[in-house]
Amino acid sequence: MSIIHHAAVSVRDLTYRYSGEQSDLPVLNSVSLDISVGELVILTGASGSGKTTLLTLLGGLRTGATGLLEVFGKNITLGCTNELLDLRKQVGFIFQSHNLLPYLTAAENIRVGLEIHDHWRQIGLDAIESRCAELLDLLELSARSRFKPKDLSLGQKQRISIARAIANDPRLILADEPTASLDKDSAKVAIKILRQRADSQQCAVIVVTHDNKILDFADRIIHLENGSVL
Amino acid sequence: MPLSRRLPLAFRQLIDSPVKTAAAATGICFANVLVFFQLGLLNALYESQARPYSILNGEIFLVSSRFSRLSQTPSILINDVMRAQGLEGVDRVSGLSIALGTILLLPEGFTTNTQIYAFDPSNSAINARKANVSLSIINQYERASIDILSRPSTIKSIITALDSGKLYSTNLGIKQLTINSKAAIGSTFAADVSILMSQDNLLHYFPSRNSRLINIGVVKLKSGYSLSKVLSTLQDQLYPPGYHIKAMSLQEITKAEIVYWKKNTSLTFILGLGVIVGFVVSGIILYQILYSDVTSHLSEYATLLALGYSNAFVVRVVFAQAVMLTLASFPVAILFSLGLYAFMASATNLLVTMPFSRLVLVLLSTLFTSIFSCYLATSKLRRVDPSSLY
Repeated sequence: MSIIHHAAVSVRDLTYRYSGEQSDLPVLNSVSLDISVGELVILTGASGSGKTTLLTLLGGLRTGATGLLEVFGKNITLGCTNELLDLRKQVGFIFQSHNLLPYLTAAENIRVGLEIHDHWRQIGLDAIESRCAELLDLLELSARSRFKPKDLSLGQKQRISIARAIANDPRLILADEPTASLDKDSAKVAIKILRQRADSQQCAVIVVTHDNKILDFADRIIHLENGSVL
Repeated sequence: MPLSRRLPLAFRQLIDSPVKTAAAATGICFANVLVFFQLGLLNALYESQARPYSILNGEIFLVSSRFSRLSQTPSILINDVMRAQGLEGVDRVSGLSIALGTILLLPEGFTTNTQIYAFDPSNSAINARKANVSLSIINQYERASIDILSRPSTIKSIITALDSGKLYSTNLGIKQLTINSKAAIGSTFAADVSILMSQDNLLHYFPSRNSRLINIGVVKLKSGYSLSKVLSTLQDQLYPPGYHIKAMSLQEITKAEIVYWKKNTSLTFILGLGVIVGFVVSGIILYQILYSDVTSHLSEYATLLALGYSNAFVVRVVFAQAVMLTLASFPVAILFSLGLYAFMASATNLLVTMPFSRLVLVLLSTLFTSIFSCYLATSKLRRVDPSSLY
C-alpha cells in the first residue's frame, strides 16, 4: 500500500505493545490506514481494541510503536522529543475525560492552549482573550467563562475541552469520545463544529466514539478489533 | 507577550488548594526553624563565651603569652602590665583577676562551680555601666555581686532573695560570703555562676594568691587615638613576640576564646552534626512535600505535555512552586525562630542572636535544597510520555 502524499496521517504496519507485555496479541497489530486533510474519520471498536492507543500515537503522546507512522509527511515513529513536541502543538486533542486544569477558569483553560504557540504570544493577550471569547460563544458557554471546572457540568467541561482543542485551528484534530458527556443537542453542536473544521479549515479529524448518533457525520468509519483494522 | 502577562500556572495551582499549600509551607517553615535552631544554638554557645570581654573597661588586653581562654588564663605581674601606662595614647591600665571557686546554694543545699572576677574598684577593669554594677558596693568586705546572666535555674534563689530586698548569705569555699547586688557579665562553659568582687576580697578568700599577680591587664585608650596604632606600639615596644605577655585587641581576644572552645571541646562536632542533620531533615521534608505535590497534580502536568508544553516547562512550573513555597514560608520561619531564640535566651541566659548572614545562609541553603529536591521529585516528569500518566 503506497503512501498517499497529501494524507494528513499515513500508517503502515503499525504495531504497539505495552512495555513488558509478551502476549501474542499486541494492542495494535499491523495497522495500516491513511486519512486525508478534509476528512472526518470515525474509529469504532470494542473497549480494548486499541482505538485510544492509536489516537495517542497519532498525537505524539506515546512512543514505542514499530512500523511507519507519518503525520503531515513527517515520520514520527521514532520521533525525537522536539519533533513530538512540534507535532502536539499542531494537533488538537480532545480527551475522553476533558482534562481541564482545575485551577483555571473556563476561558483560561482555552487560553493555556493558545499561549503555547509563538505567534499567539506575539499577537498578544488581547487577541488571545478575544479568541477565547469567540470560542466560548460558539459553544454557548459565554456565561461560564469565569467558572472553574468544579462549577461546570460534565457536558460544559467537555465543550471547553473541544474549544481548547480547536482554538489554534489545528491541522489535525483527535477526539476521544468527544460527545460522551454531552446531551443530544450539545453532541450535535460539537460534531457539527468538527465537521465544519474538516470541511473549511482543511484539517483532518479523527473521532473515537461509541455514539451511533454521530456516525452520519463521518466520511469514513474504521472499525478496530483486537488491534487490527477490519 | 511578556512573561508577566502569561498565565501564572504555578501560582494559580498553589492558591487553588490553600489548605494543601499552607500545609506544604508549614512543612518548609518547620525545616527552616530546625536549621535556625541548630545554628542559633551552636553560635550562642560559642559567642556567649566571649561576652565577659564586652564589659571590660578597655580596648586592648594584656594576657600571658600562654593565654588560651578567659577562665584559665595564666597569671601575669601587675607591674609588667602597668608599664603600658606611660605609652602615648593610653588613658589608663587596670587589672582583672580570675579565679574558680565553689559556692553553696541554699536552700537547695548543693555547691556549684563559680567563676570569680575581681578588680580594684578605684581603678576598675570593669565598665560599671556595661556591667550594671555599683563600684561602692563591690568594695564592701566579704560582699560580691551575682551575675544575673548566670544559669537562671542555678541562681534562682539568689535573685529571689535580692529582689525581695534581702541579702543572700552563702559560703565561698569555707568562708562566709554575702551576695548583696546584681551585675551583668555573662556565664561561660567554665562555670554556671559568675560573681564580681573586689581584689581585696579575692585575696581574702584565696590567701595563697600573690597580690602582685593578675590574669588580664585592661588598657583604656585616650579618645582620638587609633586602636591599631597603639596596639602596634604595645606589641613592638613593650610586648614583642616572644615576650611572656602579649597585647590583643577585643576582636583578637574574643576570636581566640571562641576558637579555643571550638577546637578543644566536642561541642563543635556534636552541634555541627546537629546542623547537618537539620539540613538533611529539611531536605527530606522538602522532597516529600514536592513529590507529593507532583504526584497529586500528575494528570494536569500530563495535560500540559499533551497540549505541547515541553517537559522542561512543566518541570519549571514545579520549580516555581517550590521557590514560591520556600519564599512564602521564610518570613514565618524567621518569626518563629526569633521567638525560639528569645525563649532560649531567657531560659539559659545565652547570647542568642540572629545575624543577617545567617538569614542569607539559611535562605540560600533552603532554596538550593528545595531546587535539588524538586529535581529529584520531577525525575519522572522529565522523561515520560504524557499518555503513560493517564
